[in-house]
Amino acid sequence: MNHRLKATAILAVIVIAILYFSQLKLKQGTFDEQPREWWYTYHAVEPNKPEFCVDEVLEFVSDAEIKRAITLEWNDILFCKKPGQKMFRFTTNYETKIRHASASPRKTSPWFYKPGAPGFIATCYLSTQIHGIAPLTDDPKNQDIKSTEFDVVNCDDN
Amino acid sequence: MTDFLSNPIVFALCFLTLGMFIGAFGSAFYYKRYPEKRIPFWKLIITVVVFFLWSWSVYTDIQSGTNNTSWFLHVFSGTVIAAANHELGEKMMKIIELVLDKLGK
Repeated sequence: MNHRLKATAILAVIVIAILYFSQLKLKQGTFDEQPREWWYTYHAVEPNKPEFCVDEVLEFVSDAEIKRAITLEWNDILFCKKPGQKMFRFTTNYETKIRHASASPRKTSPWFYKPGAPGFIATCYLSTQIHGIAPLTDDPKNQDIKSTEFDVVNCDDN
Repeated sequence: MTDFLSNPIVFALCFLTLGMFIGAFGSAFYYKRYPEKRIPFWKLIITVVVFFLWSWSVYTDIQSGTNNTSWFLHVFSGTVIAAANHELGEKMMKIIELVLDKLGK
């Protein structure tokens, strides 16, 4: 092989490696460092009405802003207390597996909590744990958010 | 770091300055050592421009939180920079050969 060509090829491999690994480290460092708000923000997760029937499918509305594309997982936990009880207790939970969320402006999106309302009269709230997985980083970008309380009533009485 | 990255002009100027500094320092060093081998100015310009294009792509990736800069751009940039500065490669080869010779003995 021509001496000059060989020298250029070796130099090219070194330059490409420097370019590739420097940009990779720069991105990883930056993405690690950015707070969760840089990626997404859930402003609210609220029930779409103040009262649900026993065993009714619960509908919620999420108010979220995805500033940069990120992979998200949700773990929604329903806490309820029966009349006369002081403490809210774990009732059911609903996990949504990994989903790629594209960047989008702040908007509201309705969704269903599939396990539904409890089979008894109660006051409940939903606690949502959002697990964000940003590209090139293992540092999770998590957010916990709670809904306002809502009532679960026996509609057969009406 | 965040403030530095949030301003595209500052980011671009930093990369441009860094590229020019490396290019100017490298060529000045080379020219002093080998005055008979003048490095054409266009090579420095090509190096800086390609480096700037590459850094701009990396910058847009960082701003958008993605990793979309293609392999092609890394390979293209690295190859063009290496080809424009092949004297450096030849010098490097001499050093490698020297080291291998020393190790062989």
